[in-house]
Amino acid sequence: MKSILGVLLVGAFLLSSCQGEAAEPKAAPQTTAPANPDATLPPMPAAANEFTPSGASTFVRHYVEVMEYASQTGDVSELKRLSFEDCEGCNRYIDVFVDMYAKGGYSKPRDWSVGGINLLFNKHEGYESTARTSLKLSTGTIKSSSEATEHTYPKTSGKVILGLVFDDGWRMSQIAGKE
Amino acid sequence: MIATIVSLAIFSLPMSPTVDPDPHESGVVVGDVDNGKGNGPIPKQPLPVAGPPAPEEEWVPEPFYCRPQAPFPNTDDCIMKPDDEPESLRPATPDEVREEVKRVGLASVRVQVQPVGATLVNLDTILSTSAVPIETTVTVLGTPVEIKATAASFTWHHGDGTSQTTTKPGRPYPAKDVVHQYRKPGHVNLRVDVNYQVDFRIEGGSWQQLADPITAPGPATSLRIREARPVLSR
Repeated sequence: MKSILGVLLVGAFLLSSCQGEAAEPKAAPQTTAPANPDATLPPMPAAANEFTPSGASTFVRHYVEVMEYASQTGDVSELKRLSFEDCEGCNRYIDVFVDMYAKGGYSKPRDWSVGGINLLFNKHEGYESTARTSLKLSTGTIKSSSEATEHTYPKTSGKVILGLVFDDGWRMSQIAGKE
Repeated sequence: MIATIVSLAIFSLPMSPTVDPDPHESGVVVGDVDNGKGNGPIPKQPLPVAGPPAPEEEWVPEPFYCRPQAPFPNTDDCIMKPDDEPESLRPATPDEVREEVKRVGLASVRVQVQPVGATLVNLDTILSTSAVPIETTVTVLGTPVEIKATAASFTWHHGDGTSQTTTKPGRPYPAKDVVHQYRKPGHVNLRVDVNYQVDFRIEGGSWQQLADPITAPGPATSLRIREARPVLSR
């Protein structure tokens, strides 16, 4: 694997070098300053990979941190990786973030966190466990598109039910609000 | 199995923009479906990915309550709950709120002493402090609980084995709301404990009051006590 990576890296370097010699001047792509330049993808805690109640709970907390990152950057690749493809609730969030940034919108820092987690742990690997918790967001501003007006939102809290499944690592299978 | 899930979960979600309808508004579908019972588990078997065969026995969920482990913020600590009742379906009891508030801790305050640093035997030593009302939110059984804590009384520990309790925080000189006279020279460490009256409400419900105050011990303040000596002079 290391050698393949090395080849790829060398190849990429050579490619960029060649392009540098032969490339014609191009107009610089139009970019805008990122809304949250300091946002970084939170590292997955080791405990979040364990098939234990603590692992499940730690994964839920990490997943919400990744949601916060996606909301602040529009980078949903990690959120997708941690979600099942048919997780409708996950996809709604993903679509929102992608759509918002594609349209030139943004969400400026809103801290996402969860409170204590009531967990129904399914001891069978590959089957769904359920976590019930409160999802809390700090105050922040959202602009849904470049044309939209920026809105400031107060801190909020709401109950959510999350389904998660361990299959060589945890992944989110459902996200639902609760009345 | 998922098809048996009937009621859509409604949740006001002011964090995600531009879902149609706008999830910032209340009463908007934002996620997967709930199972209609308002509690888990949400059946999802088998998985869309290759999984193990279904276990023969009916799976019995194991209920836990989890929160971040204090010294290890990246690892949750889970405790087995005594039964499988989803605790978020019942309101937190005053005792549970009390325990959580004590765990989180209320603000402690420091004693202001006059004269500063050193006083004299048999002199009125003036004590004062300041305590502001606290408004915060804690989570109990997965449910946010609003907390209002106000200083109901102050217990002054003079460091010489005596103490007094007042309802006022005292004021600096020239006021003498709270004073103490030391009888012997030496060094003492004073502190003031704030006894907070705590009101709480769960999810916008009516305010309730904890039966007993919660005490926040203050940090020690060092004080030297000197003995005044008469000096004859012409």
